[in-house]
Amino acid sequence: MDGSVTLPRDEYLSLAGRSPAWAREGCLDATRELGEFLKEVERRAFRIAEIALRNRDDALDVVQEAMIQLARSYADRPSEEWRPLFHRILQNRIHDWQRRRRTRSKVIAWWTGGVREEDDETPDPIENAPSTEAAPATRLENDEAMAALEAALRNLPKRQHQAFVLRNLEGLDVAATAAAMSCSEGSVKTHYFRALKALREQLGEHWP
Amino acid sequence: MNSDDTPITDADAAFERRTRELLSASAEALDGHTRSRLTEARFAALGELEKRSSMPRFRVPGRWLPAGALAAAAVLSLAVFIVRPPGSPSAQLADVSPVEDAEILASNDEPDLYADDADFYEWAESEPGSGPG
Repeated sequence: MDGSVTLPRDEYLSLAGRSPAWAREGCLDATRELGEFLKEVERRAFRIAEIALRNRDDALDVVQEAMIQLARSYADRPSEEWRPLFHRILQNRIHDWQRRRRTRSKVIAWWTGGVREEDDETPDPIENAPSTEAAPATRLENDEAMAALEAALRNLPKRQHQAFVLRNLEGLDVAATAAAMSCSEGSVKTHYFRALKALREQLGEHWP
Repeated sequence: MNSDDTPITDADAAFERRTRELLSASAEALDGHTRSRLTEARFAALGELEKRSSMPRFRVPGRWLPAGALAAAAVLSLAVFIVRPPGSPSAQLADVSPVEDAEILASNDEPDLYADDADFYEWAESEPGSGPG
């Protein structure tokens, strides 16, 4: 015995005969599986990015970068690991984007003699105008509640914000949130609990 | 219970539930343009995956790199030895350094090239038909 594994002849011939197609099929399976995963997370990922960045196009860019990075670097990993990995990449991208934006704002402020550049921050009045069509009462109520929640989320410290959206919007458990935030589970619990208290305090008893 | 040892109250739980509903609803209610951009982003990512899988993959684990380098050096030395064993004419010729050639050519000494074979040149001169005419 040389220690090698011997396949039954029929099975061997079957595998050897179809190896290129077999490999191609394996690749297609991986692509399909990753595609399904991305489709499942993309909308919530976009909302997470949009709430943090307050800009739709920036949020779309960040989500696309995170998707590409996941496909490039982690597609070979077990699919159970994709969700925390994807959210870790997404959070890092959001953080990079915010840092770049702060630097750009500082440079522009210095260049314009202290006049703050607010083109990215100023909401478009037309885009944000209330819809003229008669919205159902619940829809209106939800929109207002969501706007208040987003404003309160932006006031949270970064780690509390991350813990809250990952757990409540993405629905990650404590372990996956810890993996996505690169911190311990105890830290996640602390950040989450503080975020919950701070949000309730900001939004008041009668929200929504 | 949480890490601060403070229990999450019913009101906290209701608040969590409501935020979850709102956030999920906002993710589901994206406009068509945003959904289309997200689909494009997804296809771009999957395109990267297919591009990567179509490329030939040859990766040497890092720990084998020194051993591989040594083996390559040994094979190269062996190849040089086989092609030019020491003592072969080509190896002897190659032993003359170009620096020595340059020194001889640059030397101001009278060349004594002819002195060694003077008899031969005299004989060659006397032979009929040896000259240009």
